[in-house]
Formats: sequence, C-alpha cells, structure tokens
Amino acid sequence: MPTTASAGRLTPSSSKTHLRLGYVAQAECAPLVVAQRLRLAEQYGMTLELCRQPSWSALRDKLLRGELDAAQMLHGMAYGIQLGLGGQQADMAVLMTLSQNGQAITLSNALADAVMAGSSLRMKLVDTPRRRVFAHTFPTGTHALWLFYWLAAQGIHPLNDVRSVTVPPTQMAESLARGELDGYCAGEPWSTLASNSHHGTTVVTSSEIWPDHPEKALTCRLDFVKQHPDAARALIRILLEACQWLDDPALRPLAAPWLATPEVIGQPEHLILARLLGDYGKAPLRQPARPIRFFAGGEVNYPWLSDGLWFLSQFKRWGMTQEPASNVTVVKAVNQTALFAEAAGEAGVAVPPDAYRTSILMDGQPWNGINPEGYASSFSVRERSPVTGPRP
Amino acid sequence: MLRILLVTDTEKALGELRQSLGKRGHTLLPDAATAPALARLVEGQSPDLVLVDAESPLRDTLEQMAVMNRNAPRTVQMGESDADQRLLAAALALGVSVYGSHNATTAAIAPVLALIVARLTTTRPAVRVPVSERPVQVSLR
Repeated sequence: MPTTASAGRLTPSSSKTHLRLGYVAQAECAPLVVAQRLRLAEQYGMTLELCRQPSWSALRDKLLRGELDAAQMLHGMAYGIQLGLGGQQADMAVLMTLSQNGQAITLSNALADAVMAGSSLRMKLVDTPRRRVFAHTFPTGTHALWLFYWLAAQGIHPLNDVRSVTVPPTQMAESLARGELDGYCAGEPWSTLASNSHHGTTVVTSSEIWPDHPEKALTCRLDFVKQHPDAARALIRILLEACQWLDDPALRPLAAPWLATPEVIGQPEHLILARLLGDYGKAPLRQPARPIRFFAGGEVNYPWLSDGLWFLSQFKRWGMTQEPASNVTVVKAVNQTALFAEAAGEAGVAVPPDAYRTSILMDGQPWNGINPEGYASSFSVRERSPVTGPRP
Repeated sequence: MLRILLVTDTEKALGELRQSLGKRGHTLLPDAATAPALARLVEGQSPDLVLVDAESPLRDTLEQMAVMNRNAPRTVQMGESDADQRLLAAALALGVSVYGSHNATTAAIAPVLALIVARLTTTRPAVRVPVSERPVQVSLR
C-alpha cells in the first residue's frame, strides 16, 4: 500500500497519538502485531501499545472503561454489546473486519472416528446416554455461532440436544483430553493443539460452514470515533497496511515467530505457521480449507452491513434477543462504513459499491442481508422461545 | 443470606473469603476452578452471587450463561446510592468481578462487597498471573 505525503501526520493537540489496543491470544491478532513490529503507525505520528487480555469479558470491560482505545474482537460481539445482551449496553463501533476464515471444529477421537466411519453425528449423539458437551469462546461471538450453525445443519439443536459451554481457548485441548468436552470450536493454534497431541481430530473448518465468513473485527466505543475521528481513520489505514502485508503467503513465515512469543500467544511457531498457511495436516476434511485471509484487495476489511445483519439474525435464531433481526439501524450505527470508505480511499484500497454481499452457507442457504427476520425464522432448527430478556 | 460461589482459578486470594463469608451466615458453594465445573455449579446450584478475579479467563464462561439464561448471574449494578457504587468500584479496583442473580439485591450485596474490600486490602497482594496465561506444555510429536 503506498504511503503518500497525504498520510497527514496527526496534530498531537487535536487527537490521540498513543493508542492502547486490546487483543486475545490467537492467530488473528496478527494484523495488530505486524502493525507494531513494522512500526506502521509512525508515518501518522502515532504509537501503538498492544495489551493482551485474559478473556473477551475483560477486553470488553476495559474498552468500555476507556482503558483500551480499540480492540480486536470476535465479530458479533460488538452487536451483542450494542444490544446489551447479558450485560451492560454501550454504543459500539466496528471500524473494519480484520480477518476471514481460519477457525475449526475439533471432536474427540471417538466421536470423530464414528463420524468418519459413516455414522451421522446426530445418530451418534442419540446413541449416547449422557448429553455431549461442546465448547466455544463467547456466546455472541463467532465460534459459538459457527458451532451452532454446524450442529443445526445436521439436525442437532445446539442448546437442547447437547450442552454448550464457554471454555477459555487456552484450556480447550486439555479439557478435551480429560474427557470434559466432546468437541469445540476455536481459532488457532487452539484447534491444532488437540490434533497435535492426538487427543482430538479437526473435522471441519469454518470456511466450510461459511466460505470467507467475517471472523475478527477492529472495534471501539462509538464515542471514541466521535471524539478522535482522525485517530480512528489512521488506525484503519495502519491495519489495512498490516492486513495487506499479511496476505502475502511468503511473508507469513516472518509473522509466525512474532506471534509465537510468550508475550503474544506462547505456543510453538510451527503450529501457528501451519494453520496460517491453511495446512491442516491429515485432518479428515470434506472440503479443502480456505486459508485465513486478511485483505483480498480490501474485500475482507469492508464492514459489510450484510455481515452485521447475519449476526443479528443468529442472535434471534437462538433466542438471545427479542429485538427484530431486521433492525438495520443497529448495524448501520455500529459499522463505520463511511469512515472506512474515507480511510480506504486515502490508502487507494477499493471500496465496494454496495454494502451487502451474497454468501452461500454450508446448508446451501444463501445470505444476502435481505430480510434477516425471515431468514432467522426459516431455519427448522432454532430456539422457539427467547432464552434471555427481562427477568420475570 | 446469599448462596455464594467463589471462582478460584487464579492466584487471587478469593478462596480466603470462604470462612469470613460463612461466618456472616452465607452459604458457600464448592469452589470452581475450571470452566466445566463452573458451568455445572452455576446451572445446578443457582448461586445468588459469583465472585471471580476480573482477570480470570473463566469470566467468559459466566457471560455465556448470562446471555443464554435469563436467570443466570450477570455483572451487578449497584443502584443509585453513591456509597454502594463506591463499594462496587472499590471491589473492581481490587480486581474482583461480581456477578449476581435476581436474588442478589443491592442491600444483600453491599455487606459482601464491604467484606471483600476489607479482607483483600489487608491480604498480601498475590502475583496476578491467571493459570491459563502460563505457557501450556505441548508434546511435539
């Protein structure tokens, strides 16, 4: 991405020049790490401080308290906060999407063997007296919704037919090894850890559930955008440049050791690199994985309204909200399409003419952002009554 | 009196509150130190109050239940009283996150917060390294 004289150094008196960025240890923190290592903020007269967080809850709290300026978040979470699901409501902003693809569902070996031998997962679950336990990372986040979608597409109700729990990704492979879990959906290297230690088998990648799905987003409080629009726009440009750099497969081996350090992920470099390159080893995947991607000419990064509406549709589908899923005002308020277009324009990155894109998910259902309410109620496997909302 | 669950997965000395809280007449549920145990205890024993290190990775497990079950404990708000809000802020400043169910009224929570603030301020500060933040040993076969 060309760095031009028009990059425009920020006037320290008029804006923030030091940004504290939150993240949780997983491979998709790569754009933040690359931006810092390559000192991409310097051209804007800015500095970045990366702050690893022990949980998505802590990351959210610090963002809302102003201890973090911006953060990498599970896509979907920002809308959950905007709607006040399960906790405090706050007005949020999605500045851009940071990555697509790259997540996976891993099963215990016993369950994976049964599925590979031809018995359906649904039949296998019916045969078992105890309720199987599946883990994900946060209820309004991506892993929960990929797991729920995948189970439901096989006729398994993720809230009734199995137990769904949130387990910190760092503990998932160990929990699977101890038999506390039967499967989990997570990012990397937390999926590869189970197959590497032979305690589990990755059976499906998230790109098979939704090819080129939104995964992590760059988020902040809406009032940060209003108070510091220059800093927010510069941050988008900085991370666009980092994302473009990361999309060159030849450069990913340079990023892997940065991610492997104890301060960032603290796991072996070769495990991180393999999955960054889309190498799933001998995993019995039905379809080749579409590797994690960070840029794709800016297609990854645009904050598509149709992506945001998909998350609302799934919140509705699983009874997490009684808000109409067709509430496009929520997504328009959160997704900073105009700010992104300005930043991308300055950086010479193409912006799509339409804020809606069309995707085909694993069950053949097309999703184009039109009629989310009808989409949410079109699924035969869904929650019929709200699980949350005002207490009795 | 409240049914209280202490999450003890980090080195924060929350387990040390057990005795003091018991003496005040609260019912202390078994401690939870792993995500599956925490989920089982919250779902099976319906605690009124859950105390957890603000830096514990297990907080996401609690948040999952708050989103998916209207009766599950969630981050408490302390109403209008300045004194009550200061107590909650003091507990947060000591790194304790407080989740309460609808049974946990402000009047019931406030004395628990006061106890946390008194006990944890006098306890020698522990090194705050959540267990899961330590490098995980993996076999490299």
